[in-house]
Amino acid sequence: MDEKAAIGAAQQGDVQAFNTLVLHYQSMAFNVAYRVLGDADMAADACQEAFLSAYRNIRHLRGESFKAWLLRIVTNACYDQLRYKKRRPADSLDELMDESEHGPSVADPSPQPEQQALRRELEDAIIAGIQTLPEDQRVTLVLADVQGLSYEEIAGVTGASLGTVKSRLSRARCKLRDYLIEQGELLPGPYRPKDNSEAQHAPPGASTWP
Amino acid sequence: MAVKTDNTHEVGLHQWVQDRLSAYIDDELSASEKGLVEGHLGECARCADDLRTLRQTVDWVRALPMQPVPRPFTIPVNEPAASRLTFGWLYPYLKASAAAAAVLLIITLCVDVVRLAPTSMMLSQAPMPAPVAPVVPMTASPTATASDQLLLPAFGETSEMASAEHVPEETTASQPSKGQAVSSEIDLEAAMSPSAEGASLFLQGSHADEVSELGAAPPAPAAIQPQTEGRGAAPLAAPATATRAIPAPAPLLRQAAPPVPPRPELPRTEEAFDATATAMASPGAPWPSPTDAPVEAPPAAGATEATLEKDVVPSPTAEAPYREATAVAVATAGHVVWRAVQAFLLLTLVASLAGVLMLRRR
Repeated sequence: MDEKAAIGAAQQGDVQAFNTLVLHYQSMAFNVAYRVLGDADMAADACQEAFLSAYRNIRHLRGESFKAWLLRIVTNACYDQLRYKKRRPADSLDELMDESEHGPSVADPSPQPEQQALRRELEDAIIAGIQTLPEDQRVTLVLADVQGLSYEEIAGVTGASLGTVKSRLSRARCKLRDYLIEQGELLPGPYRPKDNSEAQHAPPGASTWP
Repeated sequence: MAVKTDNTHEVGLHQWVQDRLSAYIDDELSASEKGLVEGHLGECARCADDLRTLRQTVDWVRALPMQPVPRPFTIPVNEPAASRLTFGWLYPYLKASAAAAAVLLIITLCVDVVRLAPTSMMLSQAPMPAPVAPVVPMTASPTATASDQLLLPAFGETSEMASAEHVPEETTASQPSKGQAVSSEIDLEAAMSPSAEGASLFLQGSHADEVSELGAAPPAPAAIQPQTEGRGAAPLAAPATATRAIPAPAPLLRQAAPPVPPRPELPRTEEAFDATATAMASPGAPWPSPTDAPVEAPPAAGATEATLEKDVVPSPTAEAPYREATAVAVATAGHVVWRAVQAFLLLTLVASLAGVLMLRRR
């Protein structure tokens, strides 16, 4: 797909051209929203709003990376969803976690029932841990570690400085790590860092998940 | 356990390294920073372990499975947003246009206010000798005919103001006298506001109903005739300098309504008369705006009530100098253009704002 041509056509009102961009980026957008929001329905709503907003405002896109621009719209839609969720506390995190999707994993190397259950617990713990992070740190962590964006790209998406991105990501990772340590049972035995001295002797890289 | 917590420098370095473990994982440190971190990691088991757990956490997050998209997020082809894109480029221009129109409109209105201010001040002050009025005589010209009457109702407020002012005096006045007052004011304005044609462009439509209403009133038709008849009467009551300026008002009223109760306010009305003449002749007002008319009308009406001569010799109005008529024509044209500009600015402002709101809503 010639992205530049599609963007140009979309700026002229070509819906089909814009939809080629949607199809190309919707997976990225949805997974960012899903990891930030922790709920598939909310993520879908945020994505729908984000793409609609992008379509309405694509004429304002000038020279910037479409991916970064779209991710900024997506993260803003996520903030909107989070604000909406705060106004409706009925949708609690527990409820979200209970309904959390466990669809067929893209990377599912071992279909062993025991391992599958373990992996699911760990995945739930990670997702829950991400949800405990402050919003800015959560978005930064998702953009960096779920989407693999560089620090510069994250700065472009979030509008924060490079130093802010670094510190946010560092704090987010440390908090998530501490959360996973607190939820020790959910970690594979050899890697459960009950305390630092014990964890020090754990064989590195022997993770059973994924 | 190689952590040396008793050493301030070591503690500082430890924290410094802790803060950079995340960036170290991403290889986002400079060469010197990287060297310092790696040197500390070789000595500090805790930092080394923190690095390991942190790296494990990052690996896990990166390994989170991608969720399939629950539904396509493509935009419907008939999405109304498409049409908005067609006019989206207009948005900044509309905003600029609205702002410019608003500013220019305010400026023109300010000009109107400034022009009006001296007139009202004069009216409220003691009578002054009226200078020769080049514009006013034209009011006596034949141009002030029934066509001008059409625009009079446009100043319905004028009639109301005038009658309100004289209500205390007319407590005993009969219905005809009231109607007479209205009709006389109408004629006065027709005669004194040659530029009213321009204003009628603005207001005629909105007050069309009032026009027909007034036209049907008994006193109204009579007022047309007195207008020409009374022109000769003015010199009798008006100061010498203003003789030509305000001919029409006084006789006009008399004719329109026979039963005018006598009023003891002659001095006051004369003052008002002078003031009116002065205002009309004011060089500060190139062309009288419709807003000027209401201010001038009340005193004029009072003057008419005061003038009670019965034998009035009508003087031919056709004697008005040709250059005066030309000056009036120019002033009228200028006023029409002025109002047209204001109307254009107003329309531009409204249209631009509507466009901006529509595009923004979309």
